[in-house]
Amino acid sequence: MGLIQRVLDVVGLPTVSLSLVKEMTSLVKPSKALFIEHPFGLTLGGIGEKETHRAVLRDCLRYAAETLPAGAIVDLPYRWPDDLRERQLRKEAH
Amino acid sequence: MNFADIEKEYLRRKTVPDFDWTVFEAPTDPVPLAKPLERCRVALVVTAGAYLPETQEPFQVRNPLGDDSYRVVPGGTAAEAIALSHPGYDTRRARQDPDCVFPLDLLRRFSFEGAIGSVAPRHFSFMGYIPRTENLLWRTAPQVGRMLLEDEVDLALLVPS
Repeated sequence: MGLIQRVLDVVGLPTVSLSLVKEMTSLVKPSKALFIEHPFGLTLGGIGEKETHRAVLRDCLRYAAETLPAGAIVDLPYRWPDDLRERQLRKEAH
Repeated sequence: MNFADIEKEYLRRKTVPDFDWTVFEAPTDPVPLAKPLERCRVALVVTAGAYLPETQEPFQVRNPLGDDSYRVVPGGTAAEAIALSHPGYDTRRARQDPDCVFPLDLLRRFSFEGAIGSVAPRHFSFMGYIPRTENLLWRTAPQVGRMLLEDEVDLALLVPS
């Protein structure tokens, strides 16, 4: 995701991205990213969790409008309720 | 060991023996919004492997070298028309609610409510497993950038999976 964002940054587009793995975003250094501790495949939140989806998208828009240093990675406050993400990060779940 | 190291070892063992992450030393500069959000045309760029099965091929999920192509998804596409092909996550979950990974429905609601100016006419879907990144960096992602500029997009939101 960060690689695509870098290309869009260079062509002159305002961008903001979500990041599911902060250390990978740190390797690529796109202009502005929001780190969210959600599982792979449930980036904005769980199935049917409309309010969480809305809150995450609102955060994207809010930070898009903010001036931050190049390469900023902002920690979003969302937490996942079970161990799916942790198991995915250990490659024990899909 | 963090996930980047775990994933690198996994890919080297399973598919690409010389795999390594593409790394950059310096960040790219953010481009400020040129107008208030309420007037911005917003596009989504996702790596969910979203495609339109009526007219488009799914992404290659069995190719060990991944798939660096992209699919164009028109802004008016119904959520039910979107399918997902991706080897890196269980697509059955997000298939029940595409907003989890490709919040096009939600973006349309934000436009209707006036939080953004409009939804872009074209959105772009990649499949996130791309171990060889040269073609992505020099061909496919720049193509997407040009189309976003053609569509006079004011903000691109990038959503991984």
